[in-house]
Amino acid sequence: MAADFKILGWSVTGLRCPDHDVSFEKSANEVHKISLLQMPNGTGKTTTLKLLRAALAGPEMWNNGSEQPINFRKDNSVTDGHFILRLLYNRTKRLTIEIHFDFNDNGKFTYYTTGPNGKDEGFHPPFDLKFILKPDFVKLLIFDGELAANLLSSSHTNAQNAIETMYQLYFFNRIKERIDEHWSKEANKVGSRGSAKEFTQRKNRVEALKKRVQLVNEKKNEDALSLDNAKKQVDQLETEFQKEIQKNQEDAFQLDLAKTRLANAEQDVSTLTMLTVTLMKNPPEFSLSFSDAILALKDNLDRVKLPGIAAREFFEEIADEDNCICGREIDDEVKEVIREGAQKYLGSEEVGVLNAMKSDIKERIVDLASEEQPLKLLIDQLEEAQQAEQLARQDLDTIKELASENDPNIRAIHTKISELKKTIGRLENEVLKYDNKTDDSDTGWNLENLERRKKQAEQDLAKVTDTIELKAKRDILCRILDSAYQTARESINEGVCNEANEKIKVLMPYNHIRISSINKSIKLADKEGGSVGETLSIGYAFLSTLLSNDTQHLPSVVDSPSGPVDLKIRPEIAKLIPRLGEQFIAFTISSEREGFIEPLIKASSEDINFLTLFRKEDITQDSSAKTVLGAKESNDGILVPGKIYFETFHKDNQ
Amino acid sequence: MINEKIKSAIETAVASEQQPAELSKKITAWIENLMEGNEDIADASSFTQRCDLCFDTTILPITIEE
Repeated sequence: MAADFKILGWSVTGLRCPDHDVSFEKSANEVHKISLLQMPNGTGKTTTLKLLRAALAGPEMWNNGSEQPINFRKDNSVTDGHFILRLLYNRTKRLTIEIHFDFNDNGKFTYYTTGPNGKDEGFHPPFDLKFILKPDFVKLLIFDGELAANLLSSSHTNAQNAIETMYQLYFFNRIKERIDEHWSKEANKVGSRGSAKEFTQRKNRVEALKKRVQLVNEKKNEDALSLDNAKKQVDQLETEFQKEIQKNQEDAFQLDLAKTRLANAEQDVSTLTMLTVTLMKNPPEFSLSFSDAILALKDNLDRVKLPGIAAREFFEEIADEDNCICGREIDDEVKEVIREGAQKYLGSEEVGVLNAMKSDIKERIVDLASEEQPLKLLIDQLEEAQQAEQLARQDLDTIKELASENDPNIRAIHTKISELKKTIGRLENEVLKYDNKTDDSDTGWNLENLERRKKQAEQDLAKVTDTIELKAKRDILCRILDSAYQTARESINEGVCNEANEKIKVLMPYNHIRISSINKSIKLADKEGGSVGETLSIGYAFLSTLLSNDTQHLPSVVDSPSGPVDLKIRPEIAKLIPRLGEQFIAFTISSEREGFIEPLIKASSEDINFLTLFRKEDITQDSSAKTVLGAKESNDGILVPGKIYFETFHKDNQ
Repeated sequence: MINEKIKSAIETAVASEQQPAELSKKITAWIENLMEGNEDIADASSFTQRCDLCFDTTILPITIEE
């Protein structure tokens, strides 16, 4: 489906950014192709981006709990907050999505949608936009460095999800579900050729197993997401903890020391584990009695002349001939005698194994026999290293505890980290059940087992309802849909990779970094990851490939488009931006202007919409801004249009 | 217009199950209508008709695994 929408503007009141009303409209039903909104640090850029995401993606965006609505409150004097987003879709239709926050009720939010049929409570995007206005896809439209990193992170599936959503590949699965439903319905209609009770039992079992598979799938994804979120939160908090602790030099020194000790202890455990496991793979190396026994085995084989010179096959081949190698005739009676005698010899395969074994014993064990290696000593060392590791970890925890006692901020972070680590431990235990195949029952947690049981239950139902033919057809159709989905996905992924690689070549002509494939996330050729600049460039190339095509007309909102990129790469990024889609809105800070604005103006086929929004706090700056034609003042902010103000605006603290 | 890669993937999958080309046309038409927004996957009357067409066009092998 072609998707077409633009952002006309938004207004914000009572939330954690200056109250403002921004417009990207150029004329009736037309927006500026490129708009740059300059917001200095501390103006609420992140808040505005989050609100924009929440408005576009609907209430589902809040489900993972990472954002609390109450945290969007401007200050304690404010009781209500509003974010109103104005959109244009299908070239001429208008849509407004409003989020109302009630801070007297812990920030409880309510969505309102205003479209051609008036204003309704709730999030009701028009049918044409429903497939785009979803959390996963909106994350792609509103792009930042984190998303770029996630596109390349193996623990995320954003790149694959983006392709699936853009090309609507999910319809293969939906059709499959309908085909399956159709068969179930027919089976119900036909009824049973056995007893009614038998039919009901089998039907109920199929239904129960279907629900179980769905539940386990959902629960598995939910647990994986919770685990991922908890880990991300711990990473963030660890960074915050590190920052806080750096404020006290002694604590920071002790913490670094404890971390180094723990890293060394972990390394020792790892090295000793490797040595122990390697040694245990070859028992003769650590046990004299074992190597003596092996040598005795070889001596005994030699003594009984095993495996012998001739193999069984030699005699069997002679028995197959009419004449012996000495020229005498071999009749049936003789053939039988030779074949019986051949059984006393080993087969050539057994001969080969025994010879290889003897030669290995000769070459490896004879030399080692006199040098028994102390496995026990190694295990003792490993145990000591494990104890040292445990002590080092306890030391680190103690230092963190002590630092927490002195500073309430650090204490709060530390407590949160401890709680999250407990949650991670619990979730890690929890997810083990999905791999456990031993509970092979209809109420188990292993999807492979459940799918097999469901298939069997469906066969049983088909037998009792005489719908075997229909079920066979359903199976064929489902196989076709699965296979078509796989092939389409692979082929589209390949096309996206090739096109994105062409763009990367332009962005970084002297860098050989390339996308090799897309398997959940973007995989790089011969490389695990890239620098911040490389990651951002790859992200741009990938997204511009997806968003700018013949059927999709979508906006791109980018946070800090050139922030982490080298001055050398900035002009190339600037040249790519006009090709990123039909509307490009960037949130910038003044330090990003260098090497970016001029090439962007040159690459753009039309005028750029320059806007500067800042918090009212400097009287001189405020009065100068208010003199600019079109400047809009609110209670706590000023929005100034125009290139001149944009280019001269500067804050020392940026 | 349906993406050529999706269309071709359906044709290949149908052929590999030794089904008539007619079936790939029916699946392609269904998915194309859904993608274009001309049809709703949740609309029972429309998907029942589509399912009937697909089941009727599917040919069974001589032996069916019971």
